[in-house]
Amino acid sequence: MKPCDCQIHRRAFLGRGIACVGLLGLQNLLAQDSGASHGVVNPLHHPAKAKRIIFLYQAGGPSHLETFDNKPKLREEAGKPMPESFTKGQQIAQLQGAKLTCFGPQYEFKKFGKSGQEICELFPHLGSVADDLCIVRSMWTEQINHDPAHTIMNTGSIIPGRPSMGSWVFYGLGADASDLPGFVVLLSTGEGGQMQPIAARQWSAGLLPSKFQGVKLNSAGDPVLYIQNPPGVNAKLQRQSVDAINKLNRAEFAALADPEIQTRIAQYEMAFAMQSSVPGLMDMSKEPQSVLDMYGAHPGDGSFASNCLLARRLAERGVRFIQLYHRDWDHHRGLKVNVALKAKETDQATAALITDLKQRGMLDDTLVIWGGEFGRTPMSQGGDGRDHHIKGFSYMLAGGGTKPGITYGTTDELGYAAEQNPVSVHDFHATMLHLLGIDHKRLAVKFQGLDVRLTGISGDVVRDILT
Amino acid sequence: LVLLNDPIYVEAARVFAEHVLERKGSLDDRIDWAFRRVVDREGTPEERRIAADLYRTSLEQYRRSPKDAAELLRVGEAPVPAGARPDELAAMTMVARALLNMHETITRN
Repeated sequence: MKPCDCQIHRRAFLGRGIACVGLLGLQNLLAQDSGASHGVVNPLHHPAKAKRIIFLYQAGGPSHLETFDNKPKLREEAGKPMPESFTKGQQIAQLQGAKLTCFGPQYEFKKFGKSGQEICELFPHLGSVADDLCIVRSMWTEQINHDPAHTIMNTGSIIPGRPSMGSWVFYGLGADASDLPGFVVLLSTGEGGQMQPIAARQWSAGLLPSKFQGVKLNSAGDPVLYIQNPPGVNAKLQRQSVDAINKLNRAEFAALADPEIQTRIAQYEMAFAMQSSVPGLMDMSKEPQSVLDMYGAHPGDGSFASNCLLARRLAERGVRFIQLYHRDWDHHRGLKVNVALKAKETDQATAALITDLKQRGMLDDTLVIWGGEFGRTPMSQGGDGRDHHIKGFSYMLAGGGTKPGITYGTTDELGYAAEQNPVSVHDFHATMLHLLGIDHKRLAVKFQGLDVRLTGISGDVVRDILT
Repeated sequence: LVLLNDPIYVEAARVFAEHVLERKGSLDDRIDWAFRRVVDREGTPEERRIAADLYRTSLEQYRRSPKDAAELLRVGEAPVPAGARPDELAAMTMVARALLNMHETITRN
């Protein structure tokens, strides 16, 4: 019996009426207590190029037309009506019924590096590492509103309750760190003030045991609340208390075999371990000023830049999946000003992270991803903004077995729909898992009579962007 | 960590421990009462042993370090009853905290 068969929920367990499964689960758990955990994909389905992922998630929907997708034709057509041949019968968000007019790119593009990659002038730092970047211009998604679009980008499904990709990866591969969670989430906002919410559901383990859920560390203030023992409780007493709680829970698990009890036990172990690991993680005093300057980080300020530096420290400590959310890319209005703000907040730190990983020899086995839940329309909204757009947008990848210095796929001449080599969300997920040594078709759990997968029933590995 | 370390929960554990210590009888009787209060059932022999062990080892340490006991009892706003012995109350607070952190206590499943 494969180990994954032990990790089923109480209801599924009762429903399927399988006995004795819980005891195997307990063995798993005891094995995990002795050190770093291992996932269910063991051995890997094929050799891995990437060991870990840092996903720099740009929430709100960054415009591809002011980041990575250069559209001179759209510039020429600015102010003219958008040809109906592009838009007829297509889904539209807030521009329903409005006159559709071409909105030219608000900034110039430049060629960078030996590879001559075209990147918007707002991103000169990314330009300086252009030869390390793998730009995908032909992403598309199905969902035109933020929350369902986040949900499909994170879980491969629009139905809430499916595991997020970080949970799948943690579940599949385990983590090298035993004193930090295998899936860590960091949030930042910066200027622009939209403050769009991101539901914690986006990093939920869904139907997987909840110990695989993403753990959000606070970027400012105490990273984890109540990380200190109460007054008068020393480390020994805390250890004894956690031991007693876990013994009590193990006794309950032996009687009930509910995998959520395993999760509880693992969480208390993790909580105790984090009480000693997190202060070290957050202590930036040993980072040289030159490194802080490279990122533009001021530790403790909760900025995207500080989170990027923290991401590298988490990667070094063996965290499998690190997801940063940077918010407020939803530029329906005032795009020109606001996209420049966001670029300023993310450009330098993203480039610094790539450079820093490279200098430490970690870029080869760390996949860095930069992108959001969708793109933005080539059409104007209100004369100075762009609406949500799903038919074509851009992603930027680096390291982890992706081809450096290439641009893959195209949108049509106005940047409306992915044209050459379209990449669906499932294709993207399949490719990400492939780089980690996982066949996306084989990473599945039984749930309500179905094999649930991150990629659902579609998804092809985009082999052309792999080294 | 909230349930373990947040002063509100520490205080709750301490006050619960005060009630436990108000019970007459042996340590086992008191632990038994605590189990009934927390999960509405008797503790199994194994569970009672785990709780009693935690009480004894904690008591030993708080006897050696009255300062720690005093610090723990200062957490929260509820006044400490005049007659309470700090080492016993601190040790029972550890037990109460453990019982209040059991999976069975904090989940309905």
